[in-house]
Amino acid sequence: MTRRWNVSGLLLVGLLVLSLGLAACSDEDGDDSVAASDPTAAAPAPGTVFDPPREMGDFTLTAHTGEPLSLSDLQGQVVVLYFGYTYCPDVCPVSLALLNAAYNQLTPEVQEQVQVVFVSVDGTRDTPERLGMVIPAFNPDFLGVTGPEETVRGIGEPYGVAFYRRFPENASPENYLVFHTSQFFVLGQQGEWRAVYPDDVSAAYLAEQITAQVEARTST
Amino acid sequence: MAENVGNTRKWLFIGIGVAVFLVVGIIAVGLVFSGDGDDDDDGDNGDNGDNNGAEEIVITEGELTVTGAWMRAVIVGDAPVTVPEDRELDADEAPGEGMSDMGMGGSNAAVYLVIANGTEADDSLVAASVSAEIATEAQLHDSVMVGDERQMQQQDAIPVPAGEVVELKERSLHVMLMNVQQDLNTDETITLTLTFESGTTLDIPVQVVPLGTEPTQ
Repeated sequence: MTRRWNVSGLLLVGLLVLSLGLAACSDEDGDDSVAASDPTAAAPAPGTVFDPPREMGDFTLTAHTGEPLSLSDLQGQVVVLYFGYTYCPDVCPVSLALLNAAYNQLTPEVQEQVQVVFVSVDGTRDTPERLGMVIPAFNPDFLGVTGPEETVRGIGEPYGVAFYRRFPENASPENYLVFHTSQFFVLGQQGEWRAVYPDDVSAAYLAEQITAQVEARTST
Repeated sequence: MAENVGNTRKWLFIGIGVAVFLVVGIIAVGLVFSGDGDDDDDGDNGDNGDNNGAEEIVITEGELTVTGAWMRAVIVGDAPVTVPEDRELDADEAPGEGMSDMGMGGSNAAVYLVIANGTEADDSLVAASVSAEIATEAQLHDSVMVGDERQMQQQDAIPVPAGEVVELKERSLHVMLMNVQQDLNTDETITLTLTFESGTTLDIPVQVVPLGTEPTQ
C-alpha cells in the first residue's frame, strides 16, 4: 500500500524534474534560472554522469568460469561494475536482483552490448567456484570475478570503493560480514568510467541510463 | 526581460501540466499492472508481490500479526567452501587455525516481513530463530547507509508500537539468518519463530523467492 505510493511519488518527483528540465530547455530565451531557482523543483535524478568520462586503469581477476578476465577483454561493451560478496545477507542480493531486473528491461540488442560484472570484495570465501554457483543464479549473463583482497582493494580505490570486515555478535570467525561501498559503476566501451548510481535506484531508471550509454557509444 | 520571464513561466506551467498528465497516466498503468507485476518470469513470488502493495496490510484488532514473510533463495552448495591451504590469511582474519577444517560455513540471508500490532500495548520484536538445520542463528539487523556504504547494524529489539505496522524490508530492518546450512530453493517455505517482548511467540512461514526477484522501491 504505502510502497505503491512511494513508487508513484518517485515517479511524480522524477517527472516533475523532467518536465521542469524540458520546460527550461524549450524556452528559447535560454533562461534556465527560473527552473533552477524554483523552490518547488525536486531533487535531481539520482547518480552522477561524468562528462567527460574518466580514464580508468585496466585490471585482471579470475572469472567465475575459472578463466582470467581483464576489463580490457570487455572492450566494446558497456560494463556495469558492482563490488560485493556472495555471503552478503541483505545488500548484495538486493543489488544483484536489481541489476537482474534492470538487465531484463533492456532490449536484446542493448543486452548484447552490456556486461554486468560482480567484483568480489571477499576473495577468501568467494572462490571462482563459489561465484559460479551464485552469480549466474541471479542472471546467466552476469560475470563474477574474484582475486586477492588487496588486488581488489587497489581496483576499487579509484572508484571510491572501500571495504572491511566486521564480526557480528556470536558469529563464528569464518562468518564475518564485509562492509562495502554499494554503488553501480557504468563504464564505456574503452573501459572509461562514465557514470555512478546509488544502489537504491529503480530498475527501470537504471535500465534507461544503461541504454543511454549504449546509444551514446553507438552514435559516436 | 519581464516578458521573457513571463514566457518562461508559461512554458513552465505547460511543462507541469504535461507532467501531471503523464503522472496520472503512469499511475493508472501502474495500478493496472501492479496486480501481476511480479509474475513476468516466475509465478512463485506471490508473497513478495503482496509486499509490493497489491494488498492492504490489515491490522487485526487485539492481535499481533506477522504477514508476507519472504526471503531470496540461498545457495550453500554441496561441498563446504574452504580456504585453500596455501592461501595467506589477512591479519584481521580472526583465528586462522581450524578455518579450513570447519569450512567457510554457509551463507547469510535476510528475511523480510510485516508486523502489525493491533493490540493496545506497545511491543517489540526481541528475537528470531530457525531450526538448527537451516541456520545457526537468526539476528535482528538494520541496513544503514553510511556515506556510500551500507552497514549492517544489529538490533536488540525492533519496536512495534500499539496500533502500528512495522515493515522489515530490503535495505532496511530485516531478520538475518546467519550461516545458512542448506540450500533454500525457490518455492520452499521455512518456519521462522519470532519472540516479542510481551511474551508472544509466533511461528510464521517464510516463502523463498528466486534470487533475481526485483527489489521493491
